[in-house]
Amino acid sequence: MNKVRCLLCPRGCELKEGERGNCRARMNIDGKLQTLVYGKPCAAHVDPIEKKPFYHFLPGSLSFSLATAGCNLHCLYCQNWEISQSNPEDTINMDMPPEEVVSQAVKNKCKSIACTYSDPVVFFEYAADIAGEAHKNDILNVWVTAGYINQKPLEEACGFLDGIKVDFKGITQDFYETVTRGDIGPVMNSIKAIKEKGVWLELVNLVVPTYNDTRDDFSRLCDWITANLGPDVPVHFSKFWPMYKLKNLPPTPEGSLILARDIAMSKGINYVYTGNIPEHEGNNTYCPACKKLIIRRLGYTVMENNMSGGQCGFCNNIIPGRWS
Amino acid sequence: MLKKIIFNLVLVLVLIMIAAAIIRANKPKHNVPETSFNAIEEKTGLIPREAEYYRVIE
Repeated sequence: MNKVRCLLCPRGCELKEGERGNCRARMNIDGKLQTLVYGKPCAAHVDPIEKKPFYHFLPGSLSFSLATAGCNLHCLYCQNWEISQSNPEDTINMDMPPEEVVSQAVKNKCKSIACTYSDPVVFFEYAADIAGEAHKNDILNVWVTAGYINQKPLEEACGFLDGIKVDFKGITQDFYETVTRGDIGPVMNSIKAIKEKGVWLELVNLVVPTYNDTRDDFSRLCDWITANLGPDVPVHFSKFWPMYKLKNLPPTPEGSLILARDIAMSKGINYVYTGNIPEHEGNNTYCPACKKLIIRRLGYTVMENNMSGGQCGFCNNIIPGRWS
Repeated sequence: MLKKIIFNLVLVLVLIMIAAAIIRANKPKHNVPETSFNAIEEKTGLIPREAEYYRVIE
């Protein structure tokens, strides 16, 4: 019987006949590695793109969002653990081939398709085919991922994706080991590779009380971002909500998110956002040149948009992003 | 004297076995247990499809 090694993510699972990968979505059947989730999403919704969150990518548009069961990380605070930590046979799945996904996106007036909720890495083949179909219909493709993927498949993904939001969960190996059961190195490599490939990139850092919320954590994270990506990659600091195996912790205090934003801006990052603080200026986009408010948001809704063809509507400064 | 040596040897052996059991139990388990996919397929309607990015190693 053939033993196979999965080369999709850094785990490199070695699977004997009948065994399944760490992600639960790939299995050695008859000596071949097979994906169990192709065409079988367990979640599909129409969301504002701001919910992903993407703030510099078709603001105010809708994104047809879907996920299958399984994930190659096992975050203690996972917000979607019911699907990400389940076997595909234990979730309620829809029958939705790539053509049907695109048809639903068109029907719901979505400008993009987002592979999200769990991690699209584990349904790579399905996501790739969806992207191909979507482009035929002038619909853009985005991934919301932890970036825990090997370089070769990532290069392929960069060829069919228009935007990638990476959850940059922490800045230490210890955090990744303890909280996600993964490693930080491959994530850093993915983030750098996405930037180099020119795919639109935004980062999210979920601020978890007592785990990654010190001044030093924020400082090191921002230093790494500016040194490796420059000042123009948007960074979102998001609020943690007690969930899954970290129900014992309190939600992230607003002060921690504001501190993170202040540190990021003091390090020279131009577009820094805070999630889940209503009416806070951290929801809005400001022009780094003239300092005027370009996009005002309330929750996931764009209330005011002063962009003009990818430029600040006041001073014509180019604002990086995918605006049309 | 001989009794003492045998006792110590047995003690060391038992300790080694306990240590091995503890190490084995704590070893990260990367794969979920073997399952029969035929049964899963009938029950759930999942249709396996050959994946990209793998190699046969033996």
